[in-house]
Amino acid sequence: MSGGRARSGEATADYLIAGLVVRSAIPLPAPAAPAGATPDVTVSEGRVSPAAHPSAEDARLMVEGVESDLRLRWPEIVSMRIEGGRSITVARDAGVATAAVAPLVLGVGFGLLLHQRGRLVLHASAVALPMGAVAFIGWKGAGKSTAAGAMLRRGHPVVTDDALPIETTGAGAPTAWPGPAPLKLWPESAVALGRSPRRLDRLHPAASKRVVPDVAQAPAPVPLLAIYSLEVGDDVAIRALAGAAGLVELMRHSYAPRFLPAAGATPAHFERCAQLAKSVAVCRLVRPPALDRLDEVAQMVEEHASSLASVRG
Amino acid sequence: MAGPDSIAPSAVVARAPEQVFTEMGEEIVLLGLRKGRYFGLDGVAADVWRHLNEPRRFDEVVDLVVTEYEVERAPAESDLTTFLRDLEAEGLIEIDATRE
Repeated sequence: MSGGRARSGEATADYLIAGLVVRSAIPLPAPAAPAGATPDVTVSEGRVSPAAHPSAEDARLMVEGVESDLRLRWPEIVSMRIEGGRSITVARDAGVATAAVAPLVLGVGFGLLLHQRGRLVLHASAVALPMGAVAFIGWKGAGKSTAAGAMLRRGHPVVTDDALPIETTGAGAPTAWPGPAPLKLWPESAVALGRSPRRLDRLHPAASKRVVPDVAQAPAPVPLLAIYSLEVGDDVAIRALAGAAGLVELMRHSYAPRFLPAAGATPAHFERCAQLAKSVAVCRLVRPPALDRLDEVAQMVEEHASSLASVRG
Repeated sequence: MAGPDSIAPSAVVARAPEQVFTEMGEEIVLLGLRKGRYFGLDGVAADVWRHLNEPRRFDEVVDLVVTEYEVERAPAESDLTTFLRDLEAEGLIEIDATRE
Protein backbone atom coordinates (compact mmCIF):
# COMPACT_ATOMS: atom_id res chain seq x y z
CA MET A 1 0.00 0.00 0.00
CA SER A 2 1.73 3.16 -1.13
CA GLY A 3 1.64 6.32 0.91
CA GLY A 4 -0.86 4.92 3.41
CA ARG A 5 1.50 4.50 6.34
CA ALA A 6 0.90 6.64 9.39
CA ARG A 7 3.81 8.93 10.10
CA SER A 8 5.83 7.83 13.10
CA GLY A 9 4.69 9.40 16.32
CA GLU A 10 1.31 10.32 14.82
CA ALA A 11 -1.45 10.01 17.41
CA THR A 12 -4.37 7.76 16.53
CA ALA A 13 -7.73 7.08 18.15
CA ASP A 14 -10.18 4.22 17.67
CA TYR A 15 -13.78 4.93 16.64
CA LEU A 16 -16.86 2.81 16.03
CA ILE A 17 -18.36 3.68 12.63
CA ALA A 18 -21.24 1.64 11.13
CA GLY A 19 -20.21 -1.32 13.31
CA LEU A 20 -16.53 -1.16 12.30
CA VAL A 21 -13.54 -0.36 14.48
CA VAL A 22 -11.70 2.50 12.79
CA ARG A 23 -8.16 3.54 13.80
CA SER A 24 -7.77 7.11 12.64
CA ALA A 25 -4.94 9.62 12.61
CA ILE A 26 -7.57 12.32 12.02
CA PRO A 27 -9.94 13.11 14.90
CA LEU A 28 -13.44 12.14 13.73
CA PRO A 29 -16.82 13.19 15.14
CA ALA A 30 -17.79 9.57 15.94
CA PRO A 31 -18.17 7.45 19.10
CA ALA A 32 -15.05 5.80 20.55
CA ALA A 33 -14.46 2.07 19.98
CA PRO A 34 -14.07 -0.27 22.96
CA ALA A 35 -10.45 -0.38 24.18
CA GLY A 36 -8.24 -3.13 22.76
CA ALA A 37 -10.41 -3.85 19.71
CA THR A 38 -8.66 -4.88 16.49
CA PRO A 39 -9.17 -2.22 13.80
CA ASP A 40 -11.16 -3.16 10.68
CA VAL A 41 -10.29 0.10 8.92
CA THR A 42 -7.35 2.51 9.08
CA VAL A 43 -7.48 6.23 8.36
CA SER A 44 -3.98 7.67 7.94
CA GLU A 45 -2.33 10.79 6.62
CA GLY A 46 0.05 10.35 3.71
CA ARG A 47 0.72 11.04 0.05
CA VAL A 48 -2.11 10.62 -2.45
CA SER A 49 -1.59 11.18 -6.15
CA PRO A 50 -4.22 13.83 -6.98
CA ALA A 51 -7.24 12.79 -9.04
CA ALA A 52 -7.85 15.07 -12.03
CA HIS A 53 -11.11 13.92 -13.70
CA PRO A 54 -14.19 16.01 -12.84
CA SER A 55 -16.90 13.80 -11.30
CA ALA A 56 -20.39 13.47 -12.73
CA GLU A 57 -21.75 14.67 -9.40
CA ASP A 58 -19.85 17.94 -9.06
CA ALA A 59 -17.38 19.47 -11.55
CA ARG A 60 -15.26 20.81 -8.69
CA LEU A 61 -14.76 17.33 -7.26
CA MET A 62 -12.17 15.18 -9.05
CA VAL A 63 -12.37 11.39 -9.15
CA GLU A 64 -10.10 8.63 -10.50
CA GLY A 65 -9.69 4.92 -10.05
CA VAL A 66 -11.79 1.78 -9.90
CA GLU A 67 -14.46 0.58 -7.50
CA SER A 68 -11.96 -1.09 -5.16
CA ASP A 69 -9.37 1.71 -5.24
CA LEU A 70 -10.70 5.25 -5.61
CA ARG A 71 -9.01 8.62 -5.37
CA LEU A 72 -10.91 11.85 -4.84
CA ARG A 73 -9.72 15.43 -4.80
CA TRP A 74 -11.41 18.58 -3.55
CA PRO A 75 -9.05 21.23 -5.01
CA GLU A 76 -7.24 23.33 -2.43
CA ILE A 77 -8.70 21.25 0.40
CA VAL A 78 -7.81 17.56 0.41
CA SER A 79 -7.08 14.41 -1.59
CA MET A 80 -8.34 11.06 -0.38
CA ARG A 81 -7.65 7.46 -1.41
CA ILE A 82 -10.15 4.75 -0.44
CA GLU A 83 -8.87 1.20 -0.87
CA GLY A 84 -10.32 -2.27 -0.55
CA GLY A 85 -12.83 -1.36 2.14
CA ARG A 86 -9.91 -1.27 4.58
CA SER A 87 -8.06 2.01 4.37
CA ILE A 88 -8.51 5.71 3.75
CA THR A 89 -5.42 7.83 3.12
CA VAL A 90 -5.86 11.56 3.58
CA ALA A 91 -3.58 14.24 2.09
CA ARG A 92 -4.54 17.70 3.33
CA ASP A 93 -3.53 20.77 1.35
CA ALA A 94 -1.29 23.29 3.10
CA GLY A 95 -3.11 25.29 5.76
CA VAL A 96 -6.18 23.01 5.92
CA ALA A 97 -6.96 21.79 9.45
CA THR A 98 -7.89 18.18 10.28
CA ALA A 99 -11.25 19.44 11.61
CA ALA A 100 -12.03 20.85 8.14
CA VAL A 101 -11.57 17.49 6.41
CA ALA A 102 -13.14 15.24 9.08
CA PRO A 103 -16.71 15.63 7.70
CA LEU A 104 -15.50 14.63 4.21
CA VAL A 105 -13.69 11.57 5.58
CA LEU A 106 -16.68 10.49 7.63
CA GLY A 107 -19.23 11.28 4.89
CA VAL A 108 -17.83 10.62 1.41
CA GLY A 109 -14.84 8.55 2.61
CA PHE A 110 -16.91 6.10 4.63
CA GLY A 111 -19.81 6.16 2.15
CA LEU A 112 -17.45 4.76 -0.48
CA LEU A 113 -15.51 2.49 1.88
CA LEU A 114 -18.70 0.80 3.10
CA HIS A 115 -19.76 0.28 -0.53
CA GLN A 116 -16.39 -1.44 -1.09
CA ARG A 117 -17.21 -3.71 1.87
CA GLY A 118 -20.47 -4.83 0.25
CA ARG A 119 -22.90 -2.66 2.18
CA LEU A 120 -25.67 -0.99 0.26
CA VAL A 121 -25.05 2.74 0.76
CA LEU A 122 -27.75 5.17 -0.30
CA HIS A 123 -27.39 8.89 -0.85
CA ALA A 124 -29.84 9.55 1.94
CA SER A 125 -30.52 11.12 5.28
CA ALA A 126 -32.39 9.05 7.86
CA VAL A 127 -34.05 9.46 11.25
CA ALA A 128 -35.29 6.97 13.85
CA LEU A 129 -39.01 6.94 14.69
CA PRO A 130 -40.31 4.76 17.53
CA MET A 131 -41.42 2.08 15.02
CA GLY A 132 -38.33 2.11 12.79
CA ALA A 133 -36.10 4.29 10.67
CA VAL A 134 -37.23 6.30 7.66
CA ALA A 135 -34.84 7.55 4.98
CA PHE A 136 -35.02 10.47 2.57
CA ILE A 137 -33.43 10.17 -0.88
CA GLY A 138 -33.34 12.68 -3.71
CA TRP A 139 -31.13 14.72 -5.98
CA LYS A 140 -28.73 17.31 -4.63
CA GLY A 141 -30.83 20.15 -3.21
CA ALA A 142 -34.04 18.06 -2.97
CA GLY A 143 -34.11 18.59 0.79
CA LYS A 144 -32.81 15.36 2.35
CA SER A 145 -31.02 17.01 5.26
CA THR A 146 -33.81 19.57 5.62
CA ALA A 147 -36.39 16.78 5.93
CA ALA A 148 -34.20 15.04 8.52
CA GLY A 149 -33.89 18.37 10.34
CA ALA A 150 -37.66 18.79 10.40
CA MET A 151 -38.02 15.29 11.91
CA LEU A 152 -35.26 16.04 14.43
CA ARG A 153 -37.18 19.12 15.49
CA ARG A 154 -40.11 16.83 16.31
CA GLY A 155 -37.88 14.75 18.57
CA HIS A 156 -36.67 11.98 16.25
CA PRO A 157 -32.92 11.31 16.46
CA VAL A 158 -30.85 11.36 13.31
CA VAL A 159 -29.47 8.04 12.02
CA THR A 160 -27.27 9.58 9.35
CA ASP A 161 -26.93 12.53 7.02
CA ASP A 162 -25.90 12.14 3.36
CA ALA A 163 -24.59 8.54 3.38
CA LEU A 164 -26.85 5.76 4.69
CA PRO A 165 -25.28 2.30 5.06
CA ILE A 166 -27.87 -0.48 4.96
CA GLU A 167 -27.43 -4.12 5.90
CA THR A 168 -29.62 -6.16 3.55
CA THR A 169 -28.39 -9.65 4.42
CA GLY A 170 -29.97 -11.94 6.99
CA ALA A 171 -33.57 -12.50 7.95
CA GLY A 172 -36.00 -9.75 8.89
CA ALA A 173 -36.10 -6.09 7.96
CA PRO A 174 -33.01 -4.39 6.54
CA THR A 175 -31.19 -2.28 9.11
CA ALA A 176 -30.04 1.31 8.81
CA TRP A 177 -26.62 1.90 10.39
CA PRO A 178 -25.76 5.16 12.07
CA GLY A 179 -23.47 7.22 9.84
CA PRO A 180 -22.35 10.83 10.02
CA ALA A 181 -24.98 12.63 12.12
CA PRO A 182 -24.07 16.31 11.87
CA LEU A 183 -26.69 17.79 9.54
CA LYS A 184 -25.36 19.62 6.49
CA LEU A 185 -27.86 22.35 5.62
CA TRP A 186 -28.11 25.13 3.06
CA PRO A 187 -28.27 28.50 4.87
CA GLU A 188 -31.99 28.99 4.08
CA SER A 189 -32.84 25.53 5.44
CA ALA A 190 -30.90 26.28 8.61
CA VAL A 191 -32.99 29.43 9.04
CA ALA A 192 -36.24 27.49 8.42
CA LEU A 193 -35.21 25.04 11.15
CA GLY A 194 -34.44 27.80 13.64
CA ARG A 195 -30.65 27.87 13.32
CA SER A 196 -28.54 30.90 12.48
CA PRO A 197 -26.17 30.13 9.57
CA ARG A 198 -23.71 32.70 10.93
CA ARG A 199 -23.23 30.61 14.06
CA LEU A 200 -22.61 27.38 12.13
CA ASP A 201 -19.33 26.20 10.54
CA ARG A 202 -19.12 25.59 6.81
CA LEU A 203 -18.92 21.94 5.65
CA HIS A 204 -15.49 22.73 4.22
CA PRO A 205 -13.82 26.06 3.44
CA ALA A 206 -15.29 26.27 -0.10
CA ALA A 207 -18.82 25.09 0.80
CA SER A 208 -21.89 27.21 1.47
CA LYS A 209 -23.58 24.34 3.34
CA ARG A 210 -23.40 24.68 7.12
CA VAL A 211 -22.86 21.91 9.65
CA VAL A 212 -25.24 21.54 12.61
CA PRO A 213 -22.95 19.63 14.97
CA ASP A 214 -25.05 19.06 18.08
CA VAL A 215 -27.77 16.71 16.84
CA ALA A 216 -29.24 13.77 18.74
CA GLN A 217 -28.20 10.52 17.05
CA ALA A 218 -29.66 7.02 17.19
CA PRO A 219 -26.93 5.01 18.94
CA ALA A 220 -27.46 1.62 17.26
CA PRO A 221 -28.69 0.16 13.96
CA VAL A 222 -32.43 0.62 13.44
CA PRO A 223 -34.75 -1.57 11.31
CA LEU A 224 -35.56 0.39 8.14
CA LEU A 225 -39.27 0.89 7.51
CA ALA A 226 -39.58 3.24 4.53
CA ILE A 227 -37.63 5.26 1.99
CA TYR A 228 -39.09 8.53 0.73
CA SER A 229 -37.87 10.00 -2.56
CA LEU A 230 -38.21 13.78 -2.30
CA GLU A 231 -39.72 15.82 -5.09
CA VAL A 232 -40.82 19.43 -5.21
CA GLY A 233 -44.47 19.90 -6.19
CA ASP A 234 -47.61 21.87 -5.44
CA ASP A 235 -48.76 20.21 -2.26
CA VAL A 236 -47.71 17.82 0.49
CA ALA A 237 -48.36 14.21 -0.56
CA ILE A 238 -47.02 10.66 -0.24
CA ARG A 239 -47.63 7.90 -2.77
CA ALA A 240 -46.12 4.43 -3.11
CA LEU A 241 -43.59 3.69 -5.85
CA ALA A 242 -44.58 0.11 -6.60
CA GLY A 243 -42.88 -2.43 -8.82
CA ALA A 244 -40.00 -1.35 -11.04
CA ALA A 245 -40.26 2.32 -10.00
CA GLY A 246 -39.12 1.63 -6.42
CA LEU A 247 -36.06 -0.34 -7.47
CA VAL A 248 -35.10 2.22 -10.13
CA GLU A 249 -35.31 4.95 -7.48
CA LEU A 250 -32.87 3.06 -5.22
CA MET A 251 -30.46 2.48 -8.13
CA ARG A 252 -30.61 6.19 -8.97
CA HIS A 253 -29.85 7.31 -5.45
CA SER A 254 -27.12 4.84 -4.56
CA TYR A 255 -24.07 6.49 -3.10
CA ALA A 256 -21.00 5.11 -4.90
CA PRO A 257 -22.30 5.51 -8.50
CA ARG A 258 -22.50 9.28 -7.95
CA PHE A 259 -18.72 9.26 -7.90
CA LEU A 260 -18.05 6.23 -10.09
CA PRO A 261 -20.99 5.33 -12.39
CA ALA A 262 -19.55 1.83 -13.02
CA ALA A 263 -20.09 1.00 -9.34
CA GLY A 264 -23.84 0.99 -9.98
CA ALA A 265 -23.66 -1.44 -12.88
CA THR A 266 -22.60 -4.59 -11.03
CA PRO A 267 -24.82 -7.63 -10.37
CA ALA A 268 -23.99 -7.45 -6.64
CA HIS A 269 -25.17 -3.85 -6.31
CA PHE A 270 -28.29 -4.57 -8.38
CA GLU A 271 -29.16 -7.57 -6.19
CA ARG A 272 -28.76 -5.55 -3.00
CA CYS A 273 -30.99 -2.76 -4.34
CA ALA A 274 -33.60 -5.31 -5.50
CA GLN A 275 -33.62 -7.03 -2.11
CA LEU A 276 -34.09 -3.68 -0.37
CA ALA A 277 -36.86 -2.56 -2.76
CA LYS A 278 -38.73 -5.79 -1.98
CA SER A 279 -38.42 -5.47 1.80
CA VAL A 280 -39.17 -1.80 2.57
CA ALA A 281 -41.79 0.68 1.33
CA VAL A 282 -40.37 3.01 -1.33
CA CYS A 283 -42.51 6.13 -1.75
CA ARG A 284 -42.59 9.50 -3.44
CA LEU A 285 -42.80 12.41 -1.00
CA VAL A 286 -43.93 15.62 -2.64
CA ARG A 287 -43.45 18.93 -0.87
CA PRO A 288 -43.87 22.56 -1.92
CA PRO A 289 -40.71 24.54 -2.69
CA ALA A 290 -41.24 27.00 0.18
CA LEU A 291 -39.82 25.88 3.52
CA ASP A 292 -42.74 27.07 5.68
CA ARG A 293 -44.60 23.72 5.61
CA LEU A 294 -41.75 21.51 6.83
CA ASP A 295 -43.55 20.60 10.04
CA GLU A 296 -46.59 19.48 8.03
CA VAL A 297 -44.30 17.29 5.88
CA ALA A 298 -42.75 15.79 9.02
CA GLN A 299 -46.17 15.05 10.51
CA MET A 300 -47.33 13.34 7.32
CA VAL A 301 -44.20 11.14 7.36
CA GLU A 302 -44.89 10.20 11.01
CA GLU A 303 -48.48 9.20 10.18
CA HIS A 304 -47.48 7.30 7.05
CA ALA A 305 -44.69 5.41 8.83
CA SER A 306 -47.08 4.52 11.67
CA SER A 307 -49.59 3.08 9.20
CA LEU A 308 -46.83 1.02 7.55
CA ALA A 309 -45.67 -0.29 10.93
CA SER A 310 -49.20 -1.32 11.90
CA VAL A 311 -49.68 -3.15 8.56
CA ARG A 312 -46.38 -4.94 9.06
CA GLY A 313 -47.49 -5.70 12.63
CA MET B 1 -41.43 -5.98 -43.57
CA ALA B 2 -38.28 -7.84 -44.64
CA GLY B 3 -36.10 -4.76 -44.00
CA PRO B 4 -32.56 -4.84 -42.67
CA ASP B 5 -33.89 -5.07 -39.08
CA SER B 6 -36.31 -7.93 -39.72
CA ILE B 7 -35.78 -11.19 -37.85
CA ALA B 8 -35.98 -14.53 -39.65
CA PRO B 9 -38.65 -16.89 -38.25
CA SER B 10 -35.97 -19.48 -37.54
CA ALA B 11 -33.57 -17.04 -35.82
CA VAL B 12 -32.87 -17.99 -32.21
CA VAL B 13 -33.46 -15.36 -29.55
CA ALA B 14 -31.67 -15.77 -26.20
CA ARG B 15 -30.94 -13.68 -23.12
CA ALA B 16 -27.39 -12.31 -23.22
CA PRO B 17 -24.99 -13.29 -20.44
CA GLU B 18 -24.21 -9.65 -19.60
CA GLN B 19 -27.45 -8.79 -17.85
CA VAL B 20 -29.18 -9.32 -14.53
CA PHE B 21 -32.87 -8.94 -13.86
CA THR B 22 -35.39 -9.22 -11.08
CA GLU B 23 -39.17 -9.49 -10.79
CA MET B 24 -40.75 -6.52 -9.00
CA GLY B 25 -44.42 -7.40 -8.63
CA GLU B 26 -45.83 -7.66 -12.17
CA GLU B 27 -42.85 -5.83 -13.63
CA ILE B 28 -39.30 -6.77 -14.44
CA VAL B 29 -36.23 -4.59 -13.95
CA LEU B 30 -33.21 -5.35 -16.11
CA LEU B 31 -29.67 -4.11 -15.74
CA GLY B 32 -27.46 -4.26 -18.83
CA LEU B 33 -23.92 -4.77 -17.57
CA ARG B 34 -22.23 -3.69 -20.79
CA LYS B 35 -23.65 -0.15 -20.81
CA GLY B 36 -24.64 0.09 -17.16
CA ARG B 37 -28.22 1.03 -18.01
CA TYR B 38 -31.38 -0.29 -16.45
CA PHE B 39 -34.87 -0.81 -17.83
CA GLY B 40 -38.35 -1.56 -16.54
CA LEU B 41 -40.51 -4.00 -18.50
CA ASP B 42 -44.22 -4.52 -17.97
CA GLY B 43 -47.17 -6.14 -19.75
CA VAL B 44 -46.31 -7.99 -22.96
CA ALA B 45 -42.67 -6.91 -22.76
CA ALA B 46 -42.29 -8.54 -19.32
CA ASP B 47 -44.02 -11.71 -20.57
CA VAL B 48 -41.72 -11.95 -23.59
CA TRP B 49 -38.73 -11.65 -21.26
CA ARG B 50 -40.13 -14.46 -19.07
CA HIS B 51 -40.60 -16.66 -22.14
CA LEU B 52 -36.92 -16.15 -22.97
CA ASN B 53 -36.04 -18.27 -19.92
CA GLU B 54 -34.66 -20.56 -22.62
CA PRO B 55 -33.51 -19.72 -26.16
CA ARG B 56 -36.48 -19.70 -28.54
CA ARG B 57 -37.00 -19.36 -32.28
CA PHE B 58 -38.45 -15.99 -33.26
CA ASP B 59 -41.60 -17.58 -34.76
CA GLU B 60 -42.13 -19.40 -31.45
CA VAL B 61 -41.99 -16.11 -29.53
CA VAL B 62 -44.52 -14.61 -31.98
CA ASP B 63 -46.80 -17.68 -31.52
CA LEU B 64 -46.72 -17.29 -27.74
CA VAL B 65 -47.72 -13.61 -27.90
CA VAL B 66 -50.42 -14.14 -30.54
CA THR B 67 -51.98 -16.97 -28.52
CA GLU B 68 -51.70 -15.33 -25.12
CA TYR B 69 -52.96 -11.87 -26.13
CA GLU B 70 -55.27 -12.89 -28.98
CA VAL B 71 -53.77 -10.38 -31.43
CA GLU B 72 -53.17 -10.35 -35.19
CA ARG B 73 -49.96 -12.01 -36.24
CA ALA B 74 -48.55 -9.32 -38.58
CA PRO B 75 -48.63 -6.37 -36.14
CA ALA B 76 -47.41 -8.61 -33.31
CA GLU B 77 -44.46 -9.70 -35.43
CA SER B 78 -43.67 -6.10 -36.31
CA ASP B 79 -43.86 -4.90 -32.66
CA LEU B 80 -41.78 -7.83 -31.44
CA THR B 81 -39.14 -7.15 -34.08
CA THR B 82 -38.76 -3.56 -32.87
CA PHE B 83 -38.74 -4.61 -29.21
CA LEU B 84 -36.22 -7.44 -29.64
CA ARG B 85 -33.91 -5.32 -31.80
CA ASP B 86 -33.97 -2.66 -29.04
CA LEU B 87 -33.04 -5.26 -26.41
CA GLU B 88 -30.29 -6.52 -28.72
CA ALA B 89 -28.90 -2.98 -29.19
CA GLU B 90 -28.68 -2.68 -25.39
CA GLY B 91 -26.80 -5.97 -25.16
CA LEU B 92 -29.61 -7.65 -23.24
CA ILE B 93 -30.36 -10.41 -25.76
CA GLU B 94 -28.65 -12.13 -28.67
CA ILE B 95 -30.41 -12.90 -31.95
CA ASP B 96 -28.72 -15.66 -33.91
CA ALA B 97 -30.04 -16.12 -37.44
CA THR B 98 -27.56 -18.89 -38.24
CA ARG B 99 -28.86 -21.37 -35.65
CA GLU B 100 -31.67 -23.78 -36.32
